[in-house]
Amino acid sequence: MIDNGAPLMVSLKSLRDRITSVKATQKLTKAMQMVAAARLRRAQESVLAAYPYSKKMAILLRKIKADIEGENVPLLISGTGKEKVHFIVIFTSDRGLCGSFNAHIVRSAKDFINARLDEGKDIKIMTVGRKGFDILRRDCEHMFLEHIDLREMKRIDFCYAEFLSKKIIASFKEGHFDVCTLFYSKFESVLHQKPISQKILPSLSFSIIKEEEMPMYEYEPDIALMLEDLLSKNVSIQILCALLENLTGEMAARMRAMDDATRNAGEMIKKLSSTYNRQRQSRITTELIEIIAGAEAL
Amino acid sequence: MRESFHFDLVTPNRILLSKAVAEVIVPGANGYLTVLAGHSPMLIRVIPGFLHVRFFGEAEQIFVILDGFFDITTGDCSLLSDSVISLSNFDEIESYIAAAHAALGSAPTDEIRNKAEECFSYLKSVLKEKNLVNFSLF
Repeated sequence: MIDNGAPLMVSLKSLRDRITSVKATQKLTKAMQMVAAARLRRAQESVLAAYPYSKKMAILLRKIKADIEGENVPLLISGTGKEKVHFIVIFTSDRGLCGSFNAHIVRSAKDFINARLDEGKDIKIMTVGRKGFDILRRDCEHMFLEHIDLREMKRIDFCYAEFLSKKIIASFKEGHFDVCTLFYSKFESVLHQKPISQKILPSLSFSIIKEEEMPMYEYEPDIALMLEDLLSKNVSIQILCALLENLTGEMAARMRAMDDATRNAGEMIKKLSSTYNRQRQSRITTELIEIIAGAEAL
Repeated sequence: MRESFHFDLVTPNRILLSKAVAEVIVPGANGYLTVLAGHSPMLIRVIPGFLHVRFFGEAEQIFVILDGFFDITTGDCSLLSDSVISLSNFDEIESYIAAAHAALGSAPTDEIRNKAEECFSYLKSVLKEKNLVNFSLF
């Protein structure tokens, strides 16, 4: 018979050992929850700090749109003119213990991959973060172009985002793919992270800016000389924001998962303690009955 | 009396400065350029050098800048840069140098190592030139 997860007639010692073990696990999950909470706060601050740069860069590109349009539109904007090969960059975490955080991102990427494959397109994949690679390599091994572990970096910063963007842009220029889409999790709240996709190449969905708001720029040096760098920085900042959003989501998911685990451990301790006390009481009662019966027999 | 205009100095990590200023001197691709209120719209590719920001009734602030884009529009200017530090904050300079130094040794990729090397050697030269920091750091 099983009662409250513990065999009824299990020895008191094994119950005591089990309670000690669950208490140790609870301490561990509590500590992990607190670490995730502290990291979540820092990650949220980093995301908020990165957005002004991203926003200003987007506005700047919109303002110079009129001057970009012309004969010499760079490849990063015009694209290859095809949509045959899709390059999917999937950001996940390196470590688990964060609930279904990674599974959601990978599922959303898989849906996208299946839809494109049904349309007869080719897919190439890059994963950033160990978990995405672990899940996807079973089904999509032949599509993998590259995998990057996040643990190589102590912290996610612009330098790292630039390193990734240069890799992607170089591959784009070499003609390895026609469209690049990022998959990551957008942090909405501690309880909710939404997996999203974001097309980064060919660059820029220029939204229309009102004619009167559009300044007539002079450029120093010529726009053609700085456009490449400007677009590359724009891709870098988009990647940085995606990485930071993903990190924030990961920390929130881990905090919630560890909170659930701590609560579950608490409930288990309560149940095991109750079983332990019941058994202890029953053993004492049995011993008393035996003593009384022995005394009566005398 | 000269007019003031709004200036934002933005990096991917934070907004370093966002206030009304009197003038900004920026190291552009064709040399240093002084920007005053009412300057015609311009987009400048910033090259390594010193960025001077002058205020009305406040001390000037100087920054070391390695690259970026200076966007001048009517009544509003923004400088977007990923490599900029303030010369008024000695702790920041020292920690920046220390970080660049550490990155040189432990950079996981050539890209990051090159960036750190570039950063370190430029800081070294400009700070020596300005005689600002403890040379034992080098």
